[in-house]
Amino acid sequence: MGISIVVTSGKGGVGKTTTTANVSSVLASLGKKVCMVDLDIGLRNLDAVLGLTNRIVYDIVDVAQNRVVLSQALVRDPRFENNLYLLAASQFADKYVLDQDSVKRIITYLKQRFDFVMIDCPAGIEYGFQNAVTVADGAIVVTNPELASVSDADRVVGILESMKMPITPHLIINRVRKNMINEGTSMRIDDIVNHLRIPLLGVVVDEDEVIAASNSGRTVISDKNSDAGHSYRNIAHRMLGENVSLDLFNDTKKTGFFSKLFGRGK
Amino acid sequence: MSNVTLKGSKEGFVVIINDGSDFEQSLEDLKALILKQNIGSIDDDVIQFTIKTGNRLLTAAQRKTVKTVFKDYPQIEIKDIISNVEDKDEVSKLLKDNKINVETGIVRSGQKLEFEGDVLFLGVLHEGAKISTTGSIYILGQVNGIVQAGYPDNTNAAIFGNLKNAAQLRIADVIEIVTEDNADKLANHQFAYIDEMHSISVDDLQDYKEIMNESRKRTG
Repeated sequence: MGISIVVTSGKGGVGKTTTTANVSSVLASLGKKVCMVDLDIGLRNLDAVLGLTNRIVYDIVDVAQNRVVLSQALVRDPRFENNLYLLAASQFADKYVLDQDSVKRIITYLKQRFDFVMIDCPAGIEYGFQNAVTVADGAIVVTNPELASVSDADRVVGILESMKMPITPHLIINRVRKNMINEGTSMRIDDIVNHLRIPLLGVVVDEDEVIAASNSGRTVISDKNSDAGHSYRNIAHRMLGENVSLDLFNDTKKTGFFSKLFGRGK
Repeated sequence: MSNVTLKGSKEGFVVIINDGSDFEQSLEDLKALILKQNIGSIDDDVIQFTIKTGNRLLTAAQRKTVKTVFKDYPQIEIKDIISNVEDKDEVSKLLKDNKINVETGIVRSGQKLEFEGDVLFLGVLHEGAKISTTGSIYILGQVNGIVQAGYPDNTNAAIFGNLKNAAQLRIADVIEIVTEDNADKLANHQFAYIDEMHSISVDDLQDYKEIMNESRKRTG
């Protein structure tokens, strides 16, 4: 039985989809069976980031409404043998067509077949968010080092903590700009961590290559020159319970709840 | 004018039922007319009659009654029952099926345009958008989304035009995903259709007539 992790943020545009695509790709490259689920009904884009748009025939709404069986709607990413799959959101329906029961049924089934079910959550804390977080075992909260984003993340962490998930929410700070931190014009990483008070899973630097890659339907994980790619690889290793030092501050990430499930000795 | 008239023509025998007459009375006259004919033995060739009802459209029950009259005489049979008029719903369906819809706008991501009949598409179909029709689609614009012809089960439909940037081609229940491997063969002067293996094939426009004639022979 695998685990389901929702990738959420509160504020839109912080990089949830890019995080989902890159982290899932690394996990798949490490031999884990991963299924990404796009719950952003009506505004799907996980498929575009991965270059899988043309391959989508059926989506999660078709499955929820019993028009097709789940296996028919799963799109395999040919770059990762049989390890990475996508269940796309519908582009033609609105967010209210999915209910909690059908999402739960789908995620429960996927957990039986995959090690990780990575749920790309819509922005905000309304209907789509509720559907996504209620079925998840754990959450990754993505924030940018800016006040509005951290404030919204704080709201989301509060909601997630009240849900008493089996795995405590973890934090990824995305689009960090080293020069701004050095100049003192950006929020500091430790200030954000101290404010949100949840385990830090990783820090990803802001990099042009991430945008260029997603525009051409690929991830940065195999780019040895990409700092962001390096960060995503580290995040995936930490999710598997490994001790990996945090690049920017040279400290050591304590293994968290993930290690209890997938750890290789502590 | 009598209720029922028998005429001979190049196409064979024609029985004209006067559309102004009482239908029941016409049936009686039809029986009398048949009896008047010097119908040979059962070994003779069967004689076929076409029934013409003028501006009267027979109901299904009335057509059945007319056929019952002929059933008593095995040497004669009805070739067809023809009326000068058509049912309004049938005509409206026929018009819809044969209509050419012209679409010129931008179809944006998440939008779905649905038509009945053929579509001449002069607009722009963005990625994430879909255009769907019961007939064929003629693309003169730019398509990056999903193009569905022959929805839901018209396998004689086809898609014409430059399709190399489309996400997917769909004809009836068959789906062709456009990838780097097959995009080159979907350029201009091509058309996509369902072949004898029930999969989507692409061919030169100059072969359209021949290929579609073959297809219609198969599908009827």
